[in-house]
Amino acid sequence: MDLSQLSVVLSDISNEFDQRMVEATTLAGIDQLKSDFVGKKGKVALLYRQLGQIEAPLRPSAGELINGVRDRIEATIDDLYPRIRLAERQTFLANDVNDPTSEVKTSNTGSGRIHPVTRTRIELEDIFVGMGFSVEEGPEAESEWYNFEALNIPKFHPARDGQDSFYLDLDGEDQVVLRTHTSPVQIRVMQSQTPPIYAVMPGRVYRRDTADARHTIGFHQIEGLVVDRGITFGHLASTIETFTKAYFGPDVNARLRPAYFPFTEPSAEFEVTCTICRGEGCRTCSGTGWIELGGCGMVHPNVLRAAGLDPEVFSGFAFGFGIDRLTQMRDEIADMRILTENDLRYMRTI
Amino acid sequence: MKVLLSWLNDFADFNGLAKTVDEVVVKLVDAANGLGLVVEGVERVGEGLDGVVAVKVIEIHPIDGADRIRRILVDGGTGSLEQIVCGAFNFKEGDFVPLARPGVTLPGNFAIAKRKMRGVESNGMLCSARELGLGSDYDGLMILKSDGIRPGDDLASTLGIDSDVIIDLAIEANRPDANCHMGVARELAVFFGIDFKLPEIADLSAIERRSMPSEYLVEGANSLRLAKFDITKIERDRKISNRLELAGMRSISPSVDISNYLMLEIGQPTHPFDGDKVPGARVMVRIAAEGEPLETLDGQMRKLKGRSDSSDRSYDLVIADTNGLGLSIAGVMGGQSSEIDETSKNMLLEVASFRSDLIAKTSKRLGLRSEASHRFERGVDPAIGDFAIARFAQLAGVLPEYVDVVETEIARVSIVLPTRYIAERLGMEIDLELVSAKLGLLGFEITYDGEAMTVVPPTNRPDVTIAADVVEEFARTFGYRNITRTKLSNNRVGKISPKQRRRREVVNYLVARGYYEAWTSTLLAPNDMALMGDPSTPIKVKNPMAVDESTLRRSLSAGLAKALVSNLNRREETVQLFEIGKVFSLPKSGDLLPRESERLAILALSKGDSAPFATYRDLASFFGFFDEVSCERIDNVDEVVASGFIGFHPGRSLVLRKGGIIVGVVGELNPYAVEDLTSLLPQGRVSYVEIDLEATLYEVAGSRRPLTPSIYPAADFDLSFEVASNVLAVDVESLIARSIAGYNPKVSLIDSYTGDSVKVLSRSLTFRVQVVSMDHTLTEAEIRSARINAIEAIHQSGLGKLRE
Repeated sequence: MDLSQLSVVLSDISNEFDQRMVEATTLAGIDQLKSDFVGKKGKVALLYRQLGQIEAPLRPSAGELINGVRDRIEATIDDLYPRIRLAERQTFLANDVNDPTSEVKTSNTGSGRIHPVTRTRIELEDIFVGMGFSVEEGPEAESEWYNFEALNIPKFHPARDGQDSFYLDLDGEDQVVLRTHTSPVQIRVMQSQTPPIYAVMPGRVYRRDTADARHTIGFHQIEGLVVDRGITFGHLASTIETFTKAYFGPDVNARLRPAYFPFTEPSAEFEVTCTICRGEGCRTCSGTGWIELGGCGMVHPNVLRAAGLDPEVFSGFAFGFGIDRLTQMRDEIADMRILTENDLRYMRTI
Repeated sequence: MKVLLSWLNDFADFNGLAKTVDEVVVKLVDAANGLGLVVEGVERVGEGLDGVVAVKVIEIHPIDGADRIRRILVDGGTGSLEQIVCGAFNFKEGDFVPLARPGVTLPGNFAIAKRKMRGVESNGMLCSARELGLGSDYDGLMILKSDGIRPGDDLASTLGIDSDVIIDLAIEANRPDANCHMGVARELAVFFGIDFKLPEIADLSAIERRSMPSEYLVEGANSLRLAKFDITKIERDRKISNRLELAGMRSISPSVDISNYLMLEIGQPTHPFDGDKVPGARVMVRIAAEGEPLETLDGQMRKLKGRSDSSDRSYDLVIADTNGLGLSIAGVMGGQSSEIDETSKNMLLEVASFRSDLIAKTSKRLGLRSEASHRFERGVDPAIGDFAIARFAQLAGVLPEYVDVVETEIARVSIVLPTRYIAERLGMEIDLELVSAKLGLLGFEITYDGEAMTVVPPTNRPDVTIAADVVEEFARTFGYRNITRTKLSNNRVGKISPKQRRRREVVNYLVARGYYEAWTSTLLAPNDMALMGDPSTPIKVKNPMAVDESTLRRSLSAGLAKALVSNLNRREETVQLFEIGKVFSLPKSGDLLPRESERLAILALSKGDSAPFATYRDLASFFGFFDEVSCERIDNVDEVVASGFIGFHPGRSLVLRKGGIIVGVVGELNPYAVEDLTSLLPQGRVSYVEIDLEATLYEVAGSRRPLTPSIYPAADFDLSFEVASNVLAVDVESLIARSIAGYNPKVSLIDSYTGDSVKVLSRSLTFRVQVVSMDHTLTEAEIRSARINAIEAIHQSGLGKLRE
């Protein structure tokens, strides 16, 4: 074989490659093509083996001729490969169609839900923690002394009327009630810690309310207490306002108006901008634009004394409001009993 | 308390505050709210009465086929009778009643027109007080007092009604002064800075004033005045009865009305006795005899409480005649025997002052609340007695024959406080002149002596006794909204406690695993705990609202079992609930309060066998207390129940112990207990875990710590043991792990088999044991030795035998 013959063979191979390349539209076809022409047993490799038939001086030139064709084929394949791969993937994805909503649900487990009241409680705790408060707890069954007397509510005090209590049938010296508010925890905190005290006290409380549509088996309050030197009404008002903005957002304001609680003096009711109408006046707020949220005031000197603190040295403020009530406002709950029905149809939507 | 704008205007010119009544009302409502006299409602009355006339009922006829309406012929002064169809039955021929003729528009925009009912023409409507906006009474027609009325008289002028505004105020328990128009008007006048004037009183200087013996008073009664009036001379004053009705009290008779009017006006309750039914026209105050009966005005027989000894501060006071016969319950309610009626000629007006706590106790003990007791228990101005009698005389237009008096000295409180005190408590500079001005107008006497100020509250403010009260009085009149806000300057870092953090983690952990947080009742029916298998007597509530809520729970199991069943009844198929809550048991001896502990309960129902132990083990190992708590088969059910864990399936539950103490149960609920409690036998297994949180999860000491894995390859081998049916796999597993602790073992159960091929012992358990060293690759010899150690440990313990 001489060089011209070789050129003819190479040209035939090259032409054949070009023809088959057009037909190769899949990656498998490309692989076949590669193997047929530039693979170990491919047509080009066979030519290298025939180099021996060419006269020695011409062999380098012959090698170059073959190399040229081989390089062209390999370059063409390298160029073709990614384009074919892309096209192939696109074709697959274009045809791989499904309705994702058509899957039959086989299980309704998955994630559960936290109780909405717990959720509110945690939100409140976090806000107060952010304001520098600790979170304290106390017993749900309390002596009358902690629940009433220590809080400056002696027997027969008119303020006891509004907090009708469940009495427990026990033999002790003092009567035991299910606490009617979280305020007894204030006394326990003041007894067990020395000021400065900055604490909130969430918990379940019980009142013997009239059984009506809104009667629930207990409810939840959160109570705040600050006792330190030089605590003022100005601090109280500022704290209430800071909390209101933090919990409800910048559009909701707080206001204080005089009220009466035996355990605080001066006392105030605190109200916030109605969250339904944003202060315009609606049915929820009886047209006033304000919603009553809770009570607050400067800790009464008798309460400080009952807890063993000197009112000449320390002063403080306290506040309290309903966690369930906030939950009701947030979730727009019409009937609070849903909170204790443990109905999974409701709970899944929490 | 309902106050009338017209009445307030008697004390100060509130109408002068703005051009229209509406504007005045807006100002008053805003001011009252800011002063702590919370406005609960505002109602306009006496409007829309134009054209309503008083008519005399002449004839009443039934209508054929109608038993709820009748045909009435009335004389309206037009010369001929008018025919009206009316559905009320509370009147008779000769009565005067209001008539709205066609064309009249009643309050609430209710237009009256001619209509036919059952074929009978009705020329207007006979009205109830409510339809006229004159009160809440709608039992029947408003029957007008006949004296001085002529048919056809204009109703508004007959009744002396001008349009008025009723403002309903919520008066706090510490504001006895505001339970009357005078007090409310004084507050508002000071707020607006307008003149306040006391009501006119009769001049009694010429009236004989006699002293009564000091024995007429007892401890708890501070003063007693008696004024005798000839009531035949008292004429009906329509303004008085009208205002009483608007303020929510019924008009009874001229003299009784004035007594009530006085109470609403100046806050002093008085009691009118029929002077001729009281021997010698004298009464006294005494302490009730124990069990003494007394029939009150409402016809009820009351049993009174005496005083056991001089330290007893809870007893009833009686107003008695001079022979000692009880006539009325002091400060609470009058008695039948001395009641004033239509035939009474003389009235003995009792004006007294009592210690507020005694009246509160009597009222509460008897379950008897009256307008008088409401005021006395909050505190009535003890210095107002003479003023009250003089005002009564003025309103009655009749002077008393005499006034009998016995009284004790009125104790006045002096509050001494540093002049800086108010400023320090409010947290802003306060001008002392402003304090004197504001409080002075409310009747507080203020004097300064260097760094101290002395405040003597007026007698109508018994609630003001300490410096903090003075701060509130000033703050209230100054306006809470005007107090400077100061940010707390504490540099404290807020934090929840490790226990609270742990509680949140538990909640999040369970929620992530598909459990829903429940809130079940703390209060249960008396039998609930017993049905769940607890033989002990639960702690009872003395005064439950309902029998279903009358005992305290000792376990969370009953509540969750009920929640499970109510969901099953709603066709839920997979129920996964948990609850964190308090349970209660009897106090330790010597303790007052019940033992209270916080429990976590987890309940899951699924079709087929569920795996409660896996749930528990995951939880326990996640929170790192698994190693400290042992799991044992329950061999003494009573012991577990005694520790407060109930409702479990005895054959499929384990008891959890820590240091010998039972801290929980894990396994399944006893399906029959659930059935007994709820009448539904659950299909499928109800896995259940209840643990004491303080003893387990909240014990942060046992917390799991993360381990750095070895960089050397691990090796594993399997071990199969034949074990007795009562042997727990977890015990074998942990013994294997303990026996080769130096090899950092990880032991897991990979197969459990019970069948015929296992001859001697009844079960076969296969464990995969993985071992690794922290500092080298284990040699074959080491691995072999680990295997042998594990096998020997099991053999020595007698737990099982290796299957060859």
